[in-house]
Amino acid sequence: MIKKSLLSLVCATALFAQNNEVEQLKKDMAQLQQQLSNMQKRIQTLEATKPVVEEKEETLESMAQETHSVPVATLLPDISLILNGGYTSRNKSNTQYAKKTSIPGFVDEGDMEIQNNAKDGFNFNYAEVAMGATVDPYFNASAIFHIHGDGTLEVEEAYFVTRALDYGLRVKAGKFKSAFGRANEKHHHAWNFEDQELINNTLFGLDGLGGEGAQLQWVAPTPFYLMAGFELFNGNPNQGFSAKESASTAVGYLKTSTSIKDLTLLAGVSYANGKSEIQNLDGLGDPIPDSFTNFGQTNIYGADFTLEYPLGNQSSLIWQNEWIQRDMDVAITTKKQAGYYSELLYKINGNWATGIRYDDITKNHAELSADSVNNLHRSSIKLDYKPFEFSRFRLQYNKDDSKFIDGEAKTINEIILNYTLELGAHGAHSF
Amino acid sequence: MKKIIIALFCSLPIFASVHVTAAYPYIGELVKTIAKDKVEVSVIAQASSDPHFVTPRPSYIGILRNSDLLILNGGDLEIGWIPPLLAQSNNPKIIQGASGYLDLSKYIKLIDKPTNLSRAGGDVHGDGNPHYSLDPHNMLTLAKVIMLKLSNLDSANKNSYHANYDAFALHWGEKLAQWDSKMGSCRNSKLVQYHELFSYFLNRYSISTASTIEPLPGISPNSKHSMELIGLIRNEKIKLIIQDDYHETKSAQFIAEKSGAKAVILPHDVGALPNTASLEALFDTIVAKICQP
Repeated sequence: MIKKSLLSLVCATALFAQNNEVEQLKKDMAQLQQQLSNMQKRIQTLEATKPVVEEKEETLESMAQETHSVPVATLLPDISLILNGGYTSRNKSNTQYAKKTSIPGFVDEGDMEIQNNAKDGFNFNYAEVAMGATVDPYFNASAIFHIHGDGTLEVEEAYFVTRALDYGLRVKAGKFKSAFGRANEKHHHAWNFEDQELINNTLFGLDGLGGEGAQLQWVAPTPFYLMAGFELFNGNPNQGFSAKESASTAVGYLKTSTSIKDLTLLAGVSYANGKSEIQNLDGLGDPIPDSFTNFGQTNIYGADFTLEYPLGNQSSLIWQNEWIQRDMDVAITTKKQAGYYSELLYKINGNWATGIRYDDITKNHAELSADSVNNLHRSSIKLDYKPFEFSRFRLQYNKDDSKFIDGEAKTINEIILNYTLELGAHGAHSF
Repeated sequence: MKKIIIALFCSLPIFASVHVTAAYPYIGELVKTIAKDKVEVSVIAQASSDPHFVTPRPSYIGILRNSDLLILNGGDLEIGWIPPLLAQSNNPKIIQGASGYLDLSKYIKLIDKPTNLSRAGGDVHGDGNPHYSLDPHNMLTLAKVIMLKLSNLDSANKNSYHANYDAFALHWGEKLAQWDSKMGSCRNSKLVQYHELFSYFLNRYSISTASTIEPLPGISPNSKHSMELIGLIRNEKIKLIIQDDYHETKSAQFIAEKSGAKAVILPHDVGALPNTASLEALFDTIVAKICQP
């Protein structure tokens, strides 16, 4: 306020000085002085006639309702526990599925990573422990851990974000998921379907694009939502990047959203660039352990758009689409791969939701030449039942034509029944 | 020319009006009443939606990014949707604890504070029932809080805010007297609510809630509980079932038909039903529908 008044004063002075209206200023000053002395007199009379019992003027502080003292426990981070598991039924045996599956051009036989709903039979996927709190006036911090059924512990995310930067800026640093595209940033239990979108899974692996890094996001001062972000990560071979050079994976994106009457549109474009490496082969064509050629570039382009239309209370129709392309150019290997998914979700009410999804790899120019590798696709349908906000049961069917078993294209049919239970201080999900 | 440029440059940051974002329509109406044209008001939640479950659309982030003041109902009513929006709007002026963050529930004595907090009891709020805005007597307090907050943030227009508040208080006082007298004949009656949404209004006029259509707060009705309700309504000779506009109406209709009570849909916020476009019209409608002579 003082700053503003000073600024006004300076401006006012500048304006008057310009016109040499110093005389006018003097007159005004005299007038002000007169007014001031009048007011002083008035205050004196008022004070003399002041009633004995002073009526307290109400302020925001005095109007606040007294609450009982806040327990120190509220300084502990918010803690939540999420349990996720279920039952899977698949037309392929566990050995075949885990050891003999490949996705040509993306995943070699035996390298398939399946963590959730992996086994034909009962699955306990993970217990997620999430903690988060405001550190001090300047930072918030959170950590999300997954404890898997086999006892392994994974740090999904652990990061801090600034809370007091000006100009619409925010910095995040630590280990976190990239905000590339639409689906990448979300955690498994917040996914629209039980399994990752095919193009995301094949390009970035199970954990998606991200890792140890830093992020800068800027929300533009526009009447509609416009956000630009930039991220830098250590390269991660699981995501198609080389780990040899420090912080070599760069990500940038632009997102915008607007609501026209009831219809909401969210759209974004994303780009990632980094160094990649390939494993060298010996004379027989077998990979040589720990021997890599590392002088290539990978460029990844993404575009996404989502339409949301509310149909009533807690009921809406959502159409979400994302397309991603990867151009990898490492030594003699060039890969040009692209795919998309399209999801139509219908939230019937607070308890029920359903949805269909189609995943398609549209381009797969890798070193392989088999015709069928261009025809990788998957269709999914799901039904969600939420007895209450914090529990969800999901039934999903996949007709998966994206995988090869023992080198041959096979259709995998799977039915997944999954439960997600959220306990404790669970944060609200974003859009 | 120079003078004009200096004048323009100076006037822009200093006299740009205050942007206020209101979580719910009734808060927007209060701000408009106190501030008139002195501020720009945006309202996030639509009157037609359940105040607990507002979709956190990213388009709202753009609104929050440019706000100088965010006014919330509080009492955890927004807990399911405002935190992610606030976190993504990157606006330090309106984060919790900042001068541009106003939680109105802090100025109202909340009722039905749970003694035992467990989600086995459904969607209970730790601070108590957050639907205090449906007691018309609370509007005076809320209007005063908003007036004081606006005066702090924008002291240049302080006198105007005070004058508008005084005019509102005078008029609202007359309306309160009218509503109080109209409700007189309905005191000490009993009814059934869908959710404990109108509890503050009912408390004000000594009307008790015999039961709710929801078996537990936030839990959808089930047939076992509905059958019990029908018995209760018959036994206690309850005449009225009230509910909001956003929940399904089949349960209330069914219970009404079987029990002989009358099911009535009430507006829960400004604009929720036709002819409820102002605060005054909102309470005129509620009073007329609950207390029919």
